[in-house]
Amino acid sequence: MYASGKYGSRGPALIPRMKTKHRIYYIALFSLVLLGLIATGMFQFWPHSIESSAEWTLEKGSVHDAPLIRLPVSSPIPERGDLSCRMHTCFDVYRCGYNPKNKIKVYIYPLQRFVDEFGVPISSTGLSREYNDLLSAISDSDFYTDDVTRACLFVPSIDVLNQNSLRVRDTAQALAMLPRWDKGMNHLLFNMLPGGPPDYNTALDVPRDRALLAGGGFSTWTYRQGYDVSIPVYSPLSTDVVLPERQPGPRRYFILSSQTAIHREYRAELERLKEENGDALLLLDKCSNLSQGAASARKRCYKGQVYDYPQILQESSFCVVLRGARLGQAALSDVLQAGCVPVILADSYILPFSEVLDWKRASVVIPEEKLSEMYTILKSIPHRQVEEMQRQAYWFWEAYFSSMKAIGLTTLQIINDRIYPYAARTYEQWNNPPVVKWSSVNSPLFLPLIPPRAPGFTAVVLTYDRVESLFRVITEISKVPSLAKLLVVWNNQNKSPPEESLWPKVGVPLKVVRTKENKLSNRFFPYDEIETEAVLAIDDDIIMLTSDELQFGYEVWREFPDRLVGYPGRLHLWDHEMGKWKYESEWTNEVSMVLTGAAFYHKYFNYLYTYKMPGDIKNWVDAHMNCEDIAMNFLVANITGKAPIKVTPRKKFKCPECTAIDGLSLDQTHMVERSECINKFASVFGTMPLKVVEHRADPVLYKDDFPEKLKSFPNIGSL
Amino acid sequence: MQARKKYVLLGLCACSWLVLFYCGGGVQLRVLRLITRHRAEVLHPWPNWTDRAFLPRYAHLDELQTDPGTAESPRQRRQAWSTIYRDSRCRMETCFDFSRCRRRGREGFRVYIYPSEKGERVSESYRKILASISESRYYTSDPREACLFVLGIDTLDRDQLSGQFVPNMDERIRSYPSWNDGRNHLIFNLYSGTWPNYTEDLGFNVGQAILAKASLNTEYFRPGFDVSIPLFSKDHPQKGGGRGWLLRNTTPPRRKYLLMFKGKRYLTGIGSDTRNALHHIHNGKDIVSMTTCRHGKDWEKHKDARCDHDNLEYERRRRRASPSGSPSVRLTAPEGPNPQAAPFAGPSMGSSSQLKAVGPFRSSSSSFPPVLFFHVWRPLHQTWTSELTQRAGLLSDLQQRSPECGSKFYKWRKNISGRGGGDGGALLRLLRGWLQVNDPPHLLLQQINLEGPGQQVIRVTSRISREEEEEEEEEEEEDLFSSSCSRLDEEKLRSDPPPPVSAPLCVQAACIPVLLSNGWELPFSDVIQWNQAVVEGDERLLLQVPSTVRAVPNQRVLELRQRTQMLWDAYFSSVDKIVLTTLEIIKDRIFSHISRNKYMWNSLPGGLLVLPEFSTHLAHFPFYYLGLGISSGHEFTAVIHAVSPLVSQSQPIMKLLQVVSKSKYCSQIIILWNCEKPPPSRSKWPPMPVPLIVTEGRRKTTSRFLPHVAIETEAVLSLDEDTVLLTSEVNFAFLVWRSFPDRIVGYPPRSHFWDPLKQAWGYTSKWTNEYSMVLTGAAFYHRYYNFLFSHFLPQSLRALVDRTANCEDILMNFLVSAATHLPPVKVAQRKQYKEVLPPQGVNSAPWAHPEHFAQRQDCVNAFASWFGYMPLVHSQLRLDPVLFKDQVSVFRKRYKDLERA
Repeated sequence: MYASGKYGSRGPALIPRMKTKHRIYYIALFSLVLLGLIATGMFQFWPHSIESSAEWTLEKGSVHDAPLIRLPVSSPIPERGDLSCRMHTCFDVYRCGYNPKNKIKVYIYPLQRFVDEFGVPISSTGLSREYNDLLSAISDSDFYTDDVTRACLFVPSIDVLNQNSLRVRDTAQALAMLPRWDKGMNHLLFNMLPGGPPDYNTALDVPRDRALLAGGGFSTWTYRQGYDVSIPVYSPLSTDVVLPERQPGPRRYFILSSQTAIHREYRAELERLKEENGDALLLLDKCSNLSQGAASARKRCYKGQVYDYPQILQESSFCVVLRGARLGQAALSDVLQAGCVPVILADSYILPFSEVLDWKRASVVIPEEKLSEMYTILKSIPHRQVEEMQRQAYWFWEAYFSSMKAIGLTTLQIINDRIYPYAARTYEQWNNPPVVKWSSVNSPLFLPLIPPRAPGFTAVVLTYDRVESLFRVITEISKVPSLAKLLVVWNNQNKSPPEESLWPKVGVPLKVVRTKENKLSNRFFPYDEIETEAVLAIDDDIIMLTSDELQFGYEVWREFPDRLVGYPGRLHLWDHEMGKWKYESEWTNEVSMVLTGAAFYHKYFNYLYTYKMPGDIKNWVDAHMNCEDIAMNFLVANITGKAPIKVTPRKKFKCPECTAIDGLSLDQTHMVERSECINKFASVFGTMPLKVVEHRADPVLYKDDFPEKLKSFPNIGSL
Repeated sequence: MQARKKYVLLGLCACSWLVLFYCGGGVQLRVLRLITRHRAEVLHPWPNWTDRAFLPRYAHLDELQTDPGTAESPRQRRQAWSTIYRDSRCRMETCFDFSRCRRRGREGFRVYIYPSEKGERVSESYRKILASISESRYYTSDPREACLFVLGIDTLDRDQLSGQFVPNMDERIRSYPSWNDGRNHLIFNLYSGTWPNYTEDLGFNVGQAILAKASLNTEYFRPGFDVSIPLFSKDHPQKGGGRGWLLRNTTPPRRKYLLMFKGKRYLTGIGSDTRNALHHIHNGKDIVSMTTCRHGKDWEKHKDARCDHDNLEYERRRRRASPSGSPSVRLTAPEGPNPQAAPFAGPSMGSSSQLKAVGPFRSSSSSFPPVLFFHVWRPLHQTWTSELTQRAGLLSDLQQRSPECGSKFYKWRKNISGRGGGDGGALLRLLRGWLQVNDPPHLLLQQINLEGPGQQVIRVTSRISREEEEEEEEEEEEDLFSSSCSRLDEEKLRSDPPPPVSAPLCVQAACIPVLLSNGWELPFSDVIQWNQAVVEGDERLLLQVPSTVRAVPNQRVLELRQRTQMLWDAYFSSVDKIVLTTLEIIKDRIFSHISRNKYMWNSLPGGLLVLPEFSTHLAHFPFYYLGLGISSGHEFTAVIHAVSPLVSQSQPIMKLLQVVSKSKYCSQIIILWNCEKPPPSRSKWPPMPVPLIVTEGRRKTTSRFLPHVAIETEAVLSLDEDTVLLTSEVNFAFLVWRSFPDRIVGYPPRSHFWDPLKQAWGYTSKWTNEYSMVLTGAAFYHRYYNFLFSHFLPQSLRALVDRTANCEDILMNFLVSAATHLPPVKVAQRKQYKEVLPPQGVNSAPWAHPEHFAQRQDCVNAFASWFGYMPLVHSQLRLDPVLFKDQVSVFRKRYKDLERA
């Protein structure tokens, strides 16, 4: 394909100059090529479409068409799960191998219907809708593979979500019959309702060898930390009921208990709390006059008054989720969906996805013993935090509880994080709701470090051909005590830099880098020659900065190594008339940018500028030959959330020789262009990251009535 | 003719292009087929059933909502639990008596230490632990009010061969009056078991006591009950501790080695497997494994072929690293003056002294780098071990051969049916995976089945020329970064030290630990998110470690290094911190609804400085604004500390009230009446646009920092009654504070310095070019620091302040700098601050007393010794308004008042 483009474009330009004979020859050749192209295209695409459509028809079918497998009575039963299993003992990590994408591969067994020797199915429901959803979600995800030999994790198609509908022994036998079972190694079972009467075990009773269990309702004694995954009990109500999203804030009831069939001891306790605190509490129960069924599941009553469930959950700030015979409750999912803060009273319960989710930010966990103190405990939580928790609760539901797909993929992601811990998602990624993700900043240089003075800084001088001025700048900078190295970026391809002997003699290494293209971005390239953390970007015409001022700038940078520290300050303003941003270089009381014509910054920002600049900003800058400093200010402010630091008093940075009229008109267009840059960058970043401040940094004793010779930086502020 | 040539050429081109196209087409075809097949995979792997809509629910709504219920009463069940779940199955709910911690609400967490018997030998480490507890704010000397008990008997070393082993523990413990089968007891332990297996057995019945133990195995760890602590040596400082060795965030980090391991190789027994295999990843260039076989008395019995060479190399490196012969890893920052404080002695000395302090470790390329990669060994699963060794042998062989040989066959026969299923491909797959990563284009792996399924030949073909190889290497060079360290406990002088797990020093050295420690419950794993600070590997995948480490991008290296430093600083740098963290973790469990969340534990400044009693809401602390994407408050509360009685309307306080209340950011003013005379009636105070509250102080100097409930704004402006300020000064300082909400922002600066003659810290109020404190007579800070001041600092320091009626501002500066590691911020201010003498007749200000200054000097030293280091940091800058004293029209300036000298 690449070749055709190349020749095609050249062909027509040649044709008019050819003789007829050759033209025919050429046209013939061209049409031949074209024909060939079409033929290949047909050849390539035609049969495939037929093939795949055939596969399609094959895959369509009924669940009942799945092959029937009869379990022999004597078929082996797996051992009960081993409580000491951990990833490094019971999980075959070699199967996952090394994976450049750091994604585990999951294989799903094809559906089979297992029956015992009398033909009775092992499960009363067979494949449930939820489990089917889960499996389709996995198969649609990046985790899926259909190659059983490449799989790292196996998911049986035997539905064990609800233990009540299973025949435990037969299910176990069926599991053991899976072709790759191998003592359950690397197999993952999903279960939401474990245990059965009378003692309701907190983990699935089906013997399962070493299989991993993603279970709802684990207790701390059955949960194998770092091996099993605790998942929520899915509430099918969430698909049936659409709750309008509600903003966090104060609600009508303070505490709501909407669970039915709560143990009478708890109910008595709750009643007592209600007596003490009155209307702040609402205790609902099952409606006695409604028959069983879907209708009764959607209603709750208090003294004959009927409330809609789960809508009523949205009317309360806190919702009680009490343990029952089982630890995991589907009510938790409803409560989160309603943006109600769950108050969880279930000792020893392992909260869903607690390995990665920080439940302290979304719920209140109270020991069962302290039920009577619930009201006081909840009252002591600050309002703002309650709102935060409501938002967090809803976010947890939305991201991790809302569908079987969410539950399944979260489970796989958790296992994935364990196998590739170096590529694991961070706490922030798991726990921060999108609002926070959008507005928060995680500075790459977050550790409060004041780097030592000794390594000094590297001055990077961008120059084109103003040699005389350049030499003056070099001579000036070389007087700065902390200068470690000088790097001249020679941006003129047509002219060679002056001979070595012509350069001013300086006490530090001086290196000239010749660039391949005259681009402004060259100034921010992370040259290997820059060995210090601190970089001083300086134009070849900035001759007015004194050595004291530069040294002081470096000292200030050491205190703010994550910011731009520069001399001339600029401001962005919102132009109400035009409805857009405006660039301001007047003598204002505020600063939001510093020009990189003379500025210190951390070398890391060079990497960011060169490799991580969002959108097409870099190209825009190179094309317009302007605004590289604004782009740098945007970049740094966006990633650190902090304003730049302007150092020392204002100076005249413009050349005094320039004529007034010329400068003015030049200024006008310049300003317009730079305003345009700000608007362009703001739209690329999707926000205005620049921060406005009203302060600048001066030496402690600046302009103080104090002997100049005792000041560290006396020569500051002269124009 | 020219033209014809051109056409012939064109024709030729076209032909060759056609040929190319069809050949390429073949390739394309294959690619396309792959793509379409791939797409087919994605499209319908799990069938879309026709009767999907008719599938039953996994449970009926009724079943989900109506709990089956049990007859058993919850109360009975809880009681029954405590008899079932004991000893190895202990959890807080069953083995801990919460009612003991109830006594005084939040103050209920009190720790009691049993007095140790006379003649009892207590090791240095345990002495430090006990000292930390008894100096902490949780200590009580009354066992009746204790919530947690700590043994007076040294239980740190439970190795029977150790000289510090205490026999007859069972009997001795039982004699404790409140032992009660260990309920509410906390037992510290660093070493357990003995050679060669080092089991988790402590040699006595721990019962229901909480175990705070180093090198805990996940298998024996009682989650949510035990606490895994880091191993520390007896030289680990009691307090303060050296800061991390990360001084700068160089990118790309320049270090000579990518990965390094240095330490003993345990030839046999526990931990030997992975260590013996380590040499497989050693390449002598950027991945270095230096091991010594010298370990124990009879190491020569087990010695293998590599031992002599390894030992020699190890010794050579060691000598080079530390001319004195002592293991240089042991170096920590010297006691006394922190090198960081030294800049006072002159600008250049500061950095050089730092270099000296850490010796050869700081300079990266010339000598031994900070130790790197640490490893903890646990018994591997037997099969893994054997397989690992086999694979390791195979691979090292491959590594040696493949570069030179054009095409070589490597025969390897193994009956694979034992593991990995019948296809025998498991191993090959792994091998392939490994080769793909390590030398992607160099080697081609083929599997040829010979003589039946059990035996195979793996064929390795090298198919790349030498030049290309070199290019590749250059690329890798760019990825180089310094990485992790391990530190092995060299100073244990006993014959057979148990496997040491030394997270602390490794973390301090600013290289990223690569953990190969299957089954190690990492220190403080309850609260620390280790995967954000270290590279975790699997011992079974040792051979993948180099590629894993190489694949870590620069950006992440930067982050990991800073995180390890943060953890070191917050939790590991001193025994005090280790012990306090242990206590705080337990406290968080007991008062779970008033506890820190993971974010608080894992972000700066660390959990110890974040008191959940103040608030559990992140936005209430000064540290998290950026991380949450919120900004600090728009208003402040002024707190005026009044000590002199109100006699006239012209007193400075009246003027101050006027000035402050005029600020548009002021939400209310609180007068803290700390005077002997009762506060004047309401009418005596001038009318004001903001609410004025007069509260009674406790006649104590520290009461000025009491966290008053009335303070609702985040910013507090602390003022002395005689402060002279302008409204614009207040406004400007407040705006600056909003940019630095975690620091003190104030006007009058002070400085500290190290006095080498007196070997003590000095305090100066002279005008100098730098400062490290700003006086709280006029300063903005976050109200949380009031709470920290009153609850975090020990009673002894506050008592010192009250006794001398002095130094409260110094203490506040210490506290804030300790939390932030940053200097305060001084803002511009007119000169005459406090230069005017107080009016006659009023008690002369306390700062006029001659002993006042000497007292402050003593304070600085007392505070520094409590903190264990000097937290104050110097700054050389002052923040002025942008146009401050610029040559522009006054009318342009927003803060023109500030310039009126």
